[in-house]
This record gives sequence, structure tokens and C-alpha cells, in this order.
Amino acid sequence: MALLKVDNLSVTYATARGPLRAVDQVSFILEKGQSMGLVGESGSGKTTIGTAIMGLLPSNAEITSGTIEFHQTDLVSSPPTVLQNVRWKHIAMIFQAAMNALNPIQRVGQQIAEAIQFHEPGISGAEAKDRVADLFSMVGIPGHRCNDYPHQYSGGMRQRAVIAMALSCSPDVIIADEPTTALDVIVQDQILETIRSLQQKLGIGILFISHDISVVADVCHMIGVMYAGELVEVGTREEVFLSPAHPYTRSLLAAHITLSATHRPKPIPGRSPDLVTPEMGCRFCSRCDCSGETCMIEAPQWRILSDTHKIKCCQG
Amino acid sequence: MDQSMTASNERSAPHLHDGTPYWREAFSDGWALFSSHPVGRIGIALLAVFGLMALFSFIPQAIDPMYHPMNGVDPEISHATGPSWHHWLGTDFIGRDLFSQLLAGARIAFMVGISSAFMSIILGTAIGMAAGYFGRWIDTILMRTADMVMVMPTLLVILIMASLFGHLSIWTIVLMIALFRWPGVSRVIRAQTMSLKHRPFIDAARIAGASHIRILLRHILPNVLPLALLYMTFRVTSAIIIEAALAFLGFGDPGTVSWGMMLQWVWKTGHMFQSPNWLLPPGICISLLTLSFYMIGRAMDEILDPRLRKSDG
Amino acid sequence: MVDPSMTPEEAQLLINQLGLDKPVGVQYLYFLANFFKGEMGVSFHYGQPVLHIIAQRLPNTILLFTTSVLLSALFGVKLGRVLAWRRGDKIDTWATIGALMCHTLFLPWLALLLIWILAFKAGWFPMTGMMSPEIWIDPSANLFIKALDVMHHLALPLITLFIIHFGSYLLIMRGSMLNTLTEDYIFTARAKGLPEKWVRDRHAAPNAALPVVTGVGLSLAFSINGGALTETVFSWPGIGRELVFAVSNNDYPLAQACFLLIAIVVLVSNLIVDILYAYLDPRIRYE
Repeated sequence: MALLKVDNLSVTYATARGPLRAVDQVSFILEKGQSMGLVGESGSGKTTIGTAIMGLLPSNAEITSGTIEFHQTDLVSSPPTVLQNVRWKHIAMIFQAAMNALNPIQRVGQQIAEAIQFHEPGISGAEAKDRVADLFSMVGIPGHRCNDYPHQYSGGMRQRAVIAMALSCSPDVIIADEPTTALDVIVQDQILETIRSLQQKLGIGILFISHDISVVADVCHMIGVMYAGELVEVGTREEVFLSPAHPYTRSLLAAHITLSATHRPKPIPGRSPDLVTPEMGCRFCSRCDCSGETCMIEAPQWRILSDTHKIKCCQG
Repeated sequence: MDQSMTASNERSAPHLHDGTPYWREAFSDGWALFSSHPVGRIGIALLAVFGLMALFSFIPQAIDPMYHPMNGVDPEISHATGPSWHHWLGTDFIGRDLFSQLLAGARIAFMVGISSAFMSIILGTAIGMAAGYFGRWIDTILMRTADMVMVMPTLLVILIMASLFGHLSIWTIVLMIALFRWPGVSRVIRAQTMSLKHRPFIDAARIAGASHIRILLRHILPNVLPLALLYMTFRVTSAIIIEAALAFLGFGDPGTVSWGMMLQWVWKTGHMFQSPNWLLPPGICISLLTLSFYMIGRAMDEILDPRLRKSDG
Repeated sequence: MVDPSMTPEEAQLLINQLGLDKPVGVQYLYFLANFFKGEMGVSFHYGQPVLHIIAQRLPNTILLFTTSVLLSALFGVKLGRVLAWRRGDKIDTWATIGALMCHTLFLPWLALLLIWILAFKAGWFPMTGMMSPEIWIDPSANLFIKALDVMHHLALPLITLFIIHFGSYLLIMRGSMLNTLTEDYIFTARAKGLPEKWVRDRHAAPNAALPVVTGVGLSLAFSINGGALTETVFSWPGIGRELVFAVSNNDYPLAQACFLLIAIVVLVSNLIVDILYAYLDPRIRYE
């Protein structure tokens, strides 16, 4: 059952140089109990999609086309009051737990309780506190830490607190935006394990946004690869990771470092795409190792490779 | 690697980016933004008006000696009068022309403001550079001193000094104001110096054998000076206000006609209720001149700190 | 350093008595010792012990000072907080310009203007002083009436100080809020679905208030200058006015004591500001 349906979404930023097309006609479906990863380099538009779904785009950004369907409501055309209700209660967000991601002068437990008390007005202070304690044990933070301030937490603990906060209102969907990027590998592993087990236990749909394809492959059932604001490959984890079809995905994997690597990582040549004046035809063409006669002029269409696997490419 | 790594650059002023001296680049960028900034434009316009007033202050007494702000007395008038053809703003309690007093006040205000600000910039820059460059105990002592000086109520301290020295001349006042307003500048300069201290071109200079003084004067100072000059505007405003307050309380230089002095006269001679033509102009001028410098300072602030700029993003 | 109106013999006697012929360092130590013993000498001008005069004046200054700071701070911070949120719109621009203009008004001039318009012309407030002699002499007037009278006299000086200072609080708070707006936790708060007012008042404002507290501490000197000027123009019998008079009259003992007192006020206020900051910012508290 489709939980979240994003259809032909386009987001444009107004910049000094002109309108910047951060997201261009992106469509995907997030099923219940499933996690989908969005991978891409910085500037590929993946974070913008997350913020667009939450309805928290900055004032110079605009959704120029498309719909975001959740529970039979289109979030794009909904008034702010509806969005406010949906936010956190149904769609929550986990972000990078930088030092200032949590209010530095408020106790952590209090910040989480605040979300609960706002979305469920009938709840008493004591009940909220109990809920916070439950959440803490669920994510693995010692209960007595809930009265501490954010600066007293370690990086990993802060990330867990952010996860606990996202879970506080039992949402249906969680958007996880680079949740492990700032953490060291061991803590990263623990956090991913926490996320995975929580997802299995609670059946939440997760949209996992990251630039690190290996992290995404660890946690997600489906993977979407983004480049220059467009979705270029979508498939199951096995399909995308083990048999990548799009040249960009292949380059991305080749550029990666693994323990069992038999080859040196290969960087992708060329410069990052210009989103204000995108190239005609395929946007990846100038960096692609294809022959590129059709790609340079014609915008590539979707080519279906299997039930779940499709790419946007002109080549075989 | 930037070009400034080579030892030969030790002789010329440091070039940080693509070869243009840092301050010239900052200046041209700044000017473009400044002239499109509404608050900054109003500030400059006001400043220009007062500048003209100051320039024209020499004209009235040249036309007729009775217009001299201090000594000129209209033979026909010996008391306070309202505006008239001969005296555009009227006369004060002994028949002196108020308009020429106002113009002279503009001249004094600029003189006091700019010289005092200049002196405190020199002092603050020297101390800030020393603190930032040498660090450790020199830094601690200098910054603690700065803290203490900064919290002192300047006006009252100068008042006390006035009691010790008897009457103050205008230049003594300027000097004393400068002696108390330098801490603000020194902090900013110190921070900038500390960040510059570790740049490669400073190391290059040291390796090439430059002495500390040479490094400070030739390399750090040119990069730090634009910042100092930028913050000068706030020094000017406080200098003008303090001088005006001192004059108002009766501790100004009796030989100079400043706006504060004019206010003192209207107050002490009991004319403040009868002569709005005398009471209003000096106060308006002080406030507007201060406002203009303040506006310029804020415009510069917004230009320097991109987060405060009006355009989002 | 002796009362100029004395004869040379009297002056010499006083000099010996006061130890003024001893070296300066020794004099200074005597001075400090005496100060803390409460012996600050006798005012030349009033002929009364300095301590007595100061004890009378200090409460008046404290009354004026604290009420004006509190009022300006409360108002300025509240307004600054609202304005920063509406950043860029017409009201924000005009209010900011208004605050700037208020802040740059020349205080003594503003005071004279207010006296002229509100006291002289309209007669709503008394022109100078802290109390009306008739009320204070009247034995039948109770404390309430006396307090009301003082407040009536307090109004104009308070308004003057308020106009000058609330602008700076407003501008500092607004600037601080604008900085806070770019912080991550504001995004977090919005993501939690909280209404804008909550985000502004419970998350942005408490964090933005911290630099304001520091700003208050830094502008204390400015406030004290302003206080002294206000007291002088309104003949409010406080320490600031006493200092100005003492300096004009070459009344050294009084001037010294007033100045020392003001220095103490500065130190104490800074201490209070530091403590307040530590209380508000848990990052400092738990170091």
C-alpha cells in the first residue's frame, strides 16, 4: 500500500543568477513498512525533496509542479494548517545531529516532550515524561540523561536523541537526512542498526537520504539515484548495488572505497552540473563514458529493465 | 598555492587573492553594495548636508562681522529674538546670530568627531595588533585593560578630570575622548590580527628575516586597517555626543561654539521655553548628524556581515 | 585640594590635620581606609558629611536607574523579538528606523523638549525635582500620596531615559534574533510542527536574549552617562547630579565619593550581568 506518493515534483530556487532547478520531475512511491534510499552527490536535490515533503522549504524556493500525496491529501496544495498537523505526527524527520540541531538551552527530554504535548493536547506532563523515557530506552539512551542539555551529549547520543524525537508521535513516515554523516564508522553502524530494527518493529516507512551509497544499501529495500535534480535510476537494493545499469550509478560505485576492494577508487571526471542552465539532453553526458550521440541532444526517457528496476538513459 | 608564498612578495604589500590588494577588492565590493543600500544612502545624504554646513561656516562672518558666532553682536539687537531676515534663526541672549552659531557648530562637530575617532583608531589598532600578534601575557594585560576602560562611563570620568585641570580646551577634550573609546576597535583588530598571524605569508616574511615591527607595519597593518576605518563611524558618534554633553553641562571649551554649548546657553539663560528657534536647531543637528554616521555604520555592518543583508539566501 | 574660601592659616591647619602634606601614596591609603570606614570627609559646599549626602541621594538614583533599565529592556526585547520575525516588511523597516532615530536623540535636548511640551505647555507633569514640597511637608499626607507624588515626578525623567534606551535594546534583540534564525534548532522546531509563535517565543527568543544580556552589560556606561545627564536636567536629586555639582563647585570630597560610588555601581552591575548570563545559558553553567 502506497504510503507516500511523489509525482513529477519540481522545486526551483530563486537565486541571483536566475532560477535554479534543484529538483526536476521526480516521482517515486514509498510503500508501507519499506525504506527507500535517495543517493546522490551534494547539489543533486535529494535534501530538497526531503524538505519539500515536510513543507519546510526556505522562502526563496518554490514547488513549481507535481504532487506529494499522503493519506489521499496532496501536501503541495494544502494550506499551512494541514501541513502543520501532518508534520511530525505523520511525517517526521531525522537530520544530522550537529551541535545546534537541538535547542542548546532547553533540556533534551523537555524538547521531546514538547512535540508530544503539542500534537496530543490531552496528554499530561507526567505521561509525556513516561513516553520520553520509553523512547529513550527504545533508541538506547540511558534514561537518567533526559534532564541533560544537548551539549552534554556525545555525537552518537545526540543522534539517538534526534531519532527518539522523530519517533515521539509515532509517525507513519520518517525522512532521514544524512543521519550518520558526521559520525565515526563504529557509531554509524550502531545508529544504522537502531534505525533498521526500529523500522522492522514499528513498520514505519523511511526515506533515507544520503550521499553514501554503501550506507543506503545497508538499510534500504529500494534505492533511487539522483543526479542534477533528476532521478536517474530506481531499483531494489540488489539490483542497484549489484547490477547498476546507469553510467552514473556505476561511476558512483566505482568511486567508492571498500575493504575488499580489488581496484583503486575511480573519481568521476568533470564538474558538478549547473542547475541554473542545465545542459540540453542528458545531464550526465559530459561526464559519462558513453559515446553520446543521442544523449547530447535528446533528454533521455525512462527505460524499464524489470518490475522494480528502471533507468533514465539513452544507452543499453 | 597562493602567490604570496614567494619571498619576493615580502617587499610589497600582501596580496591575498588573485593579485589585487585585499583592501582594494573589499572597497570596490563594498561601494557597489553601499550605494544600493537605502539606509546607507540616506546616511551619506545627511552627512553631505552637514558637511556643507561646516564648509559654509566661514561665510557669514566674512559677509558682516556682526555674524561672528562668538563675538559678533548685532548693534541693534541685544537680546534673544526670533527668526528674521537678517538673522535666519534669530539671535541669542546677547544678540549673536544663531544661524552662524549653528554652522560653526557643524564645523566643531566634524572636527571633534573625526579627530577623536582618528586618534582612538590609531590607539586601538596599535593595541589590538600588539595584543593579537604577541599573544600570551601581553594579550591578557592589554585586553583586561580594554575591558576596564570600556566599562567606564566616559562622560563622568572626563568630568572628574575637568575638575582637576580646571577648564578644558577643545583639543584636550578630543584627546580624552579618544583615550576612552579605543577598546571597541582594539577587539576587532585583535581578532583580525590573530587570524592573519597564522597565514603563510607571515611565516614567509619571518623566515626571510623580517623583524616583528616590520611584519606588523608592512603586512598586518594594511590588511587590518580597512576594518579599523570601517568601525570609525561609531567612534565618531560617541565623540560628538560626549563633547556635546560636556559643553551642555558647562565643561566645554568656552572659546568654541559647539551645538552643546548653544544648548547650554539656551538652558542656563532660561530661554528654553520662549525661544524654540534657539532650542530646537542645535538638538536636531546633533541628533541628525549622529543618526547619519550611525546609518552609515549600520549599512557597512550589513555589508560586512552577509547574514544581515536584506536579500534572503 | 583645600576649600579655597579659607584663610591661609586655616588652610595650613586643615592640611596638617588631613595629612595632605604627606606623600600621595600614603594619602591614597588613608583615603581608602577612610572610605571603607564610612568617613569620606566633609563636603565643602554643603558643610555636611559626605556620607550623609550620599546616603540621601543614592536611593533616588537607584530608583530612576532600575526602573528605566527594566522598562526599556522589557519593551525593547519584546518588540525586537516580534520585529525580527516579520523581517523585511513595512512595519519592521519603519520601526527599526524609528528605534534608530530614538537612540540617536541627544538626551539633554530631548529632556528639555519634553519639559517644554509636557510640563510647561501641557502642565501634565512637574518640571523638575523629585517631590512637591507642599506634599512632603503636609503632615496629613500618607505614604501612598507621597509615593504617588514621587511617581508623578519620576514620569518625565523615566520617559526620557526610556525613549533613548529602548531603541538600543530593540536593535540588539532584533539583530540577535536574525542571527538565531539561521540556526539548526529553529529548523528542528518548525519540523516538529510547532506553530510560528512557539518557535519564536520558546526557541528563538530565549537563545537570542543571551547576547542582549551581554549588550546590556556593555552599554551600562552609556546608561550611566545618560542617567547623570537626566538627573541634572530634571534636578532629580541623585548621585549623578551631585557629581556634576561637586565638580562645578570644586567640592573634591563629594566629587571623589560620588565617582567612587558610580564605579562601584558599574562593577556591581557587571557582576549581576555576568551572573544573569550564567543562569540563562546552561552551557556556561555546566562547564
